[in-house]
Amino acid sequence: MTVEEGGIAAGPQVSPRLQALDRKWVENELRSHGYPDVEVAALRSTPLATPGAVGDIARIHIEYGSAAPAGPATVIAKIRGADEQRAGMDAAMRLYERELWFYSEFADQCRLASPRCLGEGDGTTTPLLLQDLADMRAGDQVAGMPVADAGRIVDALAAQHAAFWESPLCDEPHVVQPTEPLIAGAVAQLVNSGVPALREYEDRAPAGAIDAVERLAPRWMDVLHACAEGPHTLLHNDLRLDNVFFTDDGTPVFVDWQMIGASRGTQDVGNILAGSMNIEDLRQHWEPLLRRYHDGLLAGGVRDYSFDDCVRHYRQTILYPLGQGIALVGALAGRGGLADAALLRPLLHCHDLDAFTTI
Amino acid sequence: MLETCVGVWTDRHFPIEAMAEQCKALQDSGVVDGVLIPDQLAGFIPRQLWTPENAPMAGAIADPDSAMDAFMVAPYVHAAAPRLNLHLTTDSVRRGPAQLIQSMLTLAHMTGGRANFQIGGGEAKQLRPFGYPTNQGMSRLKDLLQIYRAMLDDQGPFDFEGKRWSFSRAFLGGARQHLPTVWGLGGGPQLTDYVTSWADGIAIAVPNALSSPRAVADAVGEMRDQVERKGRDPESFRIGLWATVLIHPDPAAIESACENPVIKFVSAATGRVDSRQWKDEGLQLPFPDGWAYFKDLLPYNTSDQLVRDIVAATTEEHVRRAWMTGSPSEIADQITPYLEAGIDWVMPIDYLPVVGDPVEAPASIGWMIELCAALKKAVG
Repeated sequence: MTVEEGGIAAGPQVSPRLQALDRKWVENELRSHGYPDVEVAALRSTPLATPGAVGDIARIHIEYGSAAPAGPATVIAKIRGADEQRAGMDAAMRLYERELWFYSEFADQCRLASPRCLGEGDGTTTPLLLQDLADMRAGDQVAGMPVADAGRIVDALAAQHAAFWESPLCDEPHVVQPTEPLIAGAVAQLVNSGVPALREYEDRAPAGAIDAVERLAPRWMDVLHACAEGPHTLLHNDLRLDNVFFTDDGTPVFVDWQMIGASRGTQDVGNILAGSMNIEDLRQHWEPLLRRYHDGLLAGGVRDYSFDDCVRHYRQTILYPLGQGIALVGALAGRGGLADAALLRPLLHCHDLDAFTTI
Repeated sequence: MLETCVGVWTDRHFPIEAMAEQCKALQDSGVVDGVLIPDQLAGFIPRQLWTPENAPMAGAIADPDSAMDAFMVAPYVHAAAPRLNLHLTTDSVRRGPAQLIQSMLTLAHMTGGRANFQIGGGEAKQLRPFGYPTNQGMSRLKDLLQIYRAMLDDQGPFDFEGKRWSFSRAFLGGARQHLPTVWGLGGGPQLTDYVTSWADGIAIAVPNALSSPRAVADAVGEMRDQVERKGRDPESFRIGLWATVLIHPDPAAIESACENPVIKFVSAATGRVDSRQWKDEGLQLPFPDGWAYFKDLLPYNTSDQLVRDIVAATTEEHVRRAWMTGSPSEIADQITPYLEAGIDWVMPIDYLPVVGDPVEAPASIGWMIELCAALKKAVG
């Protein structure tokens, strides 16, 4: 099928299912998602710079019939991975199902901004279609999070967490409970698989920090359980700067909702600060930022949660992004770039705040 | 005062007059206050299990899925038994809000305000085979309830911008002599949040969704708190129970039902709405992890193997926990503790006639009337 016939001229790295996306299906989805009069004439797909880890993702360029109003020029398409391993992981972790639920049923209640949903596919033959945020400034985890962005993010998190503080919605079946055996077991296993690679960082991390991680890693389930103690609220739960875009006025827009979960609010805060902020900025600003977050919680109506509680929980939950960093180092089997940033920042921060003794 | 309700099984295989006679009998009993007519496109029984060996009725009718349109049956029932309150179930997906609310206002008008609608997020069996979306039930329910509230509260045309529906200067007329009531049907935090925000009440299945009187009491307290936190009157928010039962005065009939493949399958699939409940109660999941009837059960598209596996994995304990069983008075004793949390509406649903001897059908109606009488006597 050619572009003229309404098919897709495919980029080389785009999933065949996204290459074969049906023009009429896209048209129908756009029509039921805010563009009632569009006529889609042709589709073309291009890969994104960052491919999906478990699912496939592509940018879909849309040409419209000249007689009808135009819709978005591009959308982002996300679909489950087709190969057995990724499909199995998705099925076990219910990643696509959860993200579809978020965009279909919950995004408009969430206080964190997210891309507009433009199509709701089944994830197997048809994808989720999302607003393309290419015209927004993308967060760069490796480069590190500027303090001004961190401030806007903690403000947004405080509003979100206050709105759902101890909410019954934390028990919604689609929401991840971090201590679910399947989830917690997978996380603990990934962390332990990365521990041997930590010695490669002896030249840049205090020996005591690496020793502490090695002692704690076999008890990582205890870490996860401690971090998941109350009070609970609804979290993004995979909060890295790579999952945040910024509008012109600096408002953060959050993507990748496959792991929306319920746990302590400090888990999102610890994740984004310890995992995405350069260590010198982190050392200088973590406490004012945490204070700003806590003030936001109080302004949002949270009661009986002191700043001391918040600090205590924060010290504990920065172990969570450290676990992610360790797992990433193990998975990438080497140093450099994202692995260095994702590991060293939380490792040094945990060492600074003596997080290892909180478990 | 406890309000009782009995569900009626609509089936186009049978003459409509039979339903009229049934409803008259319920009305004339003096202990049944209303009937519930389900808006079903498909039932719960996989095609493989609909055999005369499992359900004698299968020898007479080819399928258990020839349901009638609830919204068309309701006026007929009302004409036949006008003193009965009318309750209809439907979902938020299959009918648009404007048409649905107009139907609701119409039935409320016909019945003098005794029309109640219980609305859920939609089951896969009603949606997927017929081309309806299966992932939009809650967002559509949220829109529907807000539109319903606006239709009733606003005095003229109004605008609405929701997730699924946009209304512009929409108006269904100002006649409000009689209004319906709308309840949510089902459970879960999201549905409860919407229902306590905009609906008039909720119906919950026991022991399927809430498996103990304590769980009902906790849920009732939490829901009334939610209603109050939202600035609404918690006492005017009604909470009703569907009670799933197998009624028969002969224990041997119950014993036999526990071994019946249809009862076993339905027990496994619907006995606990959230599969985590089976695990929490220490019972093995009788179906694959992640499977749930409301999102996966498709009577005409479930594999032979899965049906066999579910039936084989369902124990008598699963069945016993899925239903309240026994004679009418024995079941009344089991239901009554669930009502003590301030429940004033109850609907026992007897599934035994589906697999029982059709000759016993009139007796089943009599047992249901006995049960309603016993409940009214127990609760007042």
